[in-house]
Amino acid sequence: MSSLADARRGMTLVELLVAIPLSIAVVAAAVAAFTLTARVVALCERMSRTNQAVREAYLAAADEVDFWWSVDDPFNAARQPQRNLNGGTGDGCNGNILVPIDLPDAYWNWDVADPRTWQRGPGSRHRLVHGDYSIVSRLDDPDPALAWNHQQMDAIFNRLGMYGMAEYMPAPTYWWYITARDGSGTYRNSFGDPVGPFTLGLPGQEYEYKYGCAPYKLLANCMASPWEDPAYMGGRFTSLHWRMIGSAPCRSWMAGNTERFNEIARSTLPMVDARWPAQVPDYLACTPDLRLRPMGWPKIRGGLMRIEKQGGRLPQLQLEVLDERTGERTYQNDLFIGTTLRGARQQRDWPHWNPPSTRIDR
Amino acid sequence: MITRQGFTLFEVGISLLIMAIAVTSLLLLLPSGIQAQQATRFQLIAAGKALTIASTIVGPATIRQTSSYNEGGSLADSAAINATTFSPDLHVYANSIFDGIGIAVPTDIARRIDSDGDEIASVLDEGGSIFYPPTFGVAPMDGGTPTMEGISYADASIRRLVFAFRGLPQQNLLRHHPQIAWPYIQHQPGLGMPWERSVWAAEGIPFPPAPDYSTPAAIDATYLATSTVLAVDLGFVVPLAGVADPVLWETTNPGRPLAVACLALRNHAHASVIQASFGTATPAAESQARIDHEWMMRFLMFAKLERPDDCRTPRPGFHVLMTDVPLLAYDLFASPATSTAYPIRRSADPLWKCWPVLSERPVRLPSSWSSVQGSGAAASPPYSSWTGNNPITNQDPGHWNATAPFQPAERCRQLVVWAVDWMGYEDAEEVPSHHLDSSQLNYYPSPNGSAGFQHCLWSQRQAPEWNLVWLDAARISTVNWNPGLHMTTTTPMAYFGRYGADRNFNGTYDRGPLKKSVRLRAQTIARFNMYDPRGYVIAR
Repeated sequence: MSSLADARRGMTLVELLVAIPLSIAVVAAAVAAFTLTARVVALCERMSRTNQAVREAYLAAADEVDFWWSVDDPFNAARQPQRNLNGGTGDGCNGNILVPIDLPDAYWNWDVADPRTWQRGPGSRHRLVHGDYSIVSRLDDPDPALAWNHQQMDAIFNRLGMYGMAEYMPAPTYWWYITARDGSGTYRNSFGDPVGPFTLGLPGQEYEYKYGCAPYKLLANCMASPWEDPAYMGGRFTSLHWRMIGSAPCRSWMAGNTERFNEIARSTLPMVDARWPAQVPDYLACTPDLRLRPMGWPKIRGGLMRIEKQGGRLPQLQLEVLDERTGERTYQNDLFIGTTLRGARQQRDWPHWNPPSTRIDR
Repeated sequence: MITRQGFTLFEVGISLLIMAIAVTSLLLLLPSGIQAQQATRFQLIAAGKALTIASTIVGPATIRQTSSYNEGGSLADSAAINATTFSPDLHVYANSIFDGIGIAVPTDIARRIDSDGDEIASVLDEGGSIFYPPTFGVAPMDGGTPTMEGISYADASIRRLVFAFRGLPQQNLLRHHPQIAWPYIQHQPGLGMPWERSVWAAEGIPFPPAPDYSTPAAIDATYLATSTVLAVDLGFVVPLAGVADPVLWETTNPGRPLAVACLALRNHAHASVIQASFGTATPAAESQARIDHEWMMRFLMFAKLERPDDCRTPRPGFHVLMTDVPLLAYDLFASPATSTAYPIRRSADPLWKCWPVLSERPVRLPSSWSSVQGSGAAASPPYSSWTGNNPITNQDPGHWNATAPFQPAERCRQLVVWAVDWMGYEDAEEVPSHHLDSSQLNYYPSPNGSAGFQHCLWSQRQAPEWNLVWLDAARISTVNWNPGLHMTTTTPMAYFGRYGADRNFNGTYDRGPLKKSVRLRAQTIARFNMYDPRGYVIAR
């Protein structure tokens, strides 16, 4: 009988007082560990998603730098507004980067020793000192060899706009050419507007301007802004300072708040200084795919802007990461080496100037 | 008898200990996951930075406004004679705020960072720098200008990265001869520059007077004068028809250099076009002007393409080519020249030394420089020349190697990227800026003999941290892109960044939690092999 009594012993109060706090401590530690683990795992997942999104944005931008999909979708005719000479809205703006150029393939030749490729003229902003260089050569020159350069620049500019000039003309090219005289001897630009007349400048003005020259002709203090001189292509004033010539992305590909497509097509970009005014984001091409994401994932915007710089091109990517759960916003800027416009056109199976369907041989 | 077996307290204790170790081990793995994700982010940023650095070779901003070839009156103007000025090396490209590449980490802080194999210390011991990336770029996508405050939104991870280049660059080619900022680009046709006097004088031909275009009669007289130079002094007349043949001209005029013919044709074409425009403008004058101009073009382009080593003719601005820039390098294996043996624009200085200049082939350079222009028929003061010998180049196949074949490894350096939270130091924004590298500054000789540094370049280019430096000990204001602040408008302490800089670009003076006595361990993130050019290249 006493052995049965011994066998059914329970816990004493002291044992309970010790066991319960111990159990609570163990459970609390377990809960804390579990909570910490859950937070850490969630943080790791969030970081992983952000890294993945940043990686995708960077790669998407890298693809865009090489393939120019933001301005022209080669597989979707409805998204090829830059192949339209008159712009996507049909409002008369001229010059888009993927417009065919109606020049014979012979103009593709840029042999530096070929006299046809040499520019003839003062290339000076102050034309008055140097005379009327339509005498030497011009767009409708009776000598085809002397008209060659003017015809090429005229075709490129009127088809591709400022970006085309920067792209296809050699780096040291002066961005100007001389238009034709009409029957009355009046000079007219390609819009038919009269320009001139020429008058003689004052003596002693020969050294009025000091120029920094090519190959960095696009510098702010360079004489490269022939468009300031209305006599030679009036009506196409475009600020070249810091070379904000760009190709506007298709609608829905913009990252900013204002469509700049027409402005760029009209070559009427506002002047941009070294501090990048607020319009800059509007020139960024942002791949729309990056806006599609699952709920809770960070929002990524990858803006790409192609900058003409020091005679070269430096596409710039700006990644913006917005974590909507924490409100954290961060940026990252990188430069690229990408495909040129010339390369982009050739990627679309355009052997030289034009698509195969509009090839001109003469 | 019933026996019960249970856990003894000791067994329970042991079990709990084992469980604790297991759980703790599992928990310790969790931070590893975070570290792995951080390392992934760093690698993404490092890869982007490496491509950014490489892209600056395509179009470096560091040469903005400093590599333009000028049409100046004096050939020696803007002639930078420091061998390392604007050197096209990766670490120079990387030390640029304009491209958002890098800013040198202050030496005081760099010395507190340990790294695998003491690489960082090795870089510093070799005289190099480690850099941290600034975060400048376009404005944020929601608009606004990139003020200092705005840039602080940049990814904080970027600020933890530092990078440096292992390996040494090869000797670079010179941008130009130390005496002459060649090439000189000129609009053609143009009016000529005073330094051309030496070309004329060497041929015994009077330097043509400045043209007079004040009246039609003066224009006609100018045209006649240029025609006379051609016909009488050089012995040929531009016909009304026919194509110019510079080769034939050289053959039939062996005693006359092509350079003087180019200059004469340039002057003549200029006068001819002026005359056809405003003078006695007749159809015949227009036809002649076309021919005159074309002869000038043919001769100038022949000189440019076929006689690139003859630098006595300004290069035409309408077709600038790489061949306009002769390949020159200092001869580091020869004894330095002294002022008594080498032409300078100053009085003889026994302490003055200069490496001789090498070229693969002989380069003919103008022998005069002058800032004197003169006008009209009045005699101008004689042109100025160097004291001593004319600028020359030496040829030594044993010392010239710029055009020799090379192995890729000979020009490759390695970009190493580390991650270290150096901005956590209490004095991260207080320590002085990285030391000024005087070799990066131009040393410009001037006409009156005194020489001076182009100090503005330091504040504009060679000191990427310039825009971040505190202006005084209060550390409230920075330069913040103010173009009015430079050497003469700030104190020396501010100019040299001795008060530190706002290195995290948040506009306030911050002190981190780390004591300066603490050493940090940098984590190696990535390595990239990169080509280091020996001359300026632009990819287009």
